Amino acid sequence: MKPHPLMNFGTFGLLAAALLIPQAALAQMSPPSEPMLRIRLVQASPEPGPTDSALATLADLLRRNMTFRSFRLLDVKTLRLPAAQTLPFSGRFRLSLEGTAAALTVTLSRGSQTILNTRTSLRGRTPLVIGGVPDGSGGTLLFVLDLLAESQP
Amino acid sequence: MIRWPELEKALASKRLSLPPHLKAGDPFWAEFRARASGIRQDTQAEQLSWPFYLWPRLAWGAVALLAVLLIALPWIPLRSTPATPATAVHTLDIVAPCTSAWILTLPSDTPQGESAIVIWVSGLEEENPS
Repeated sequence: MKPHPLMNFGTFGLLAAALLIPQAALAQMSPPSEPMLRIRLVQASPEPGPTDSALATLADLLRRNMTFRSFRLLDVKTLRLPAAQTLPFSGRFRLSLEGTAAALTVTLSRGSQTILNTRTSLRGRTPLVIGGVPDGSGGTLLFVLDLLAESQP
Repeated sequence: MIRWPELEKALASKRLSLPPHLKAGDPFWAEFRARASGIRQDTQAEQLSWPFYLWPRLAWGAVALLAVLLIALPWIPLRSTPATPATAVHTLDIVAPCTSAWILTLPSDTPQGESAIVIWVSGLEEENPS
């Protein structure tokens, strides 16, 4: 019996889809490359004042939950994970970072004194804020660590 | 005048159009339809025709569905997004003298909003300039 012409098209379409879909699925399921880590040094103050626009989202979150009213961005550094390096910041602060986003060891030091070390995991857009460090002028310093999307500056 | 054998012959030869003088309300027509329905026998090919009718349509439907899936796949999350933020503090060691230390989760107002994990150290001494 001669097969219907549409049968040939249908069979071809099914075969093509069967070949293409697993590749697309595999492409999506392949492990993503390690992201960029952004570290922002922020000076927070309970006094009303201007807040840098780059900190608007974080500032809203902190204002709702803490007593700070104004935030000033002092420094921004980025590095690609996995990391194994120490970043210097103003005020003789140093932030040592080692590991991947899923297992990142962070050590905060000031001069020769280690303040804290912690092992964390960073995911998505949820930042890790290390705060409470006096900046020497009555303000409080926050180290804000978050993962940076590739498209962001 | 048309006889049954002629109509049966026309039916059997698949020439189903009726002579123009046979109208729908004609009793002859009603009897013809009744008899035609009785004498009609599906051929073997006709009995097998429904799978051949359905199969190409099902195949094309499957191809269309797969094509839609293929296009939409990059936007379909294969793994569910956790409801709680996955950023976490696993260990914390405060080395410098301080009065207290906290690990806080700052909630967002909306499910889509951002939250934050905060390590807060209170009572740290300011650096001695010397």
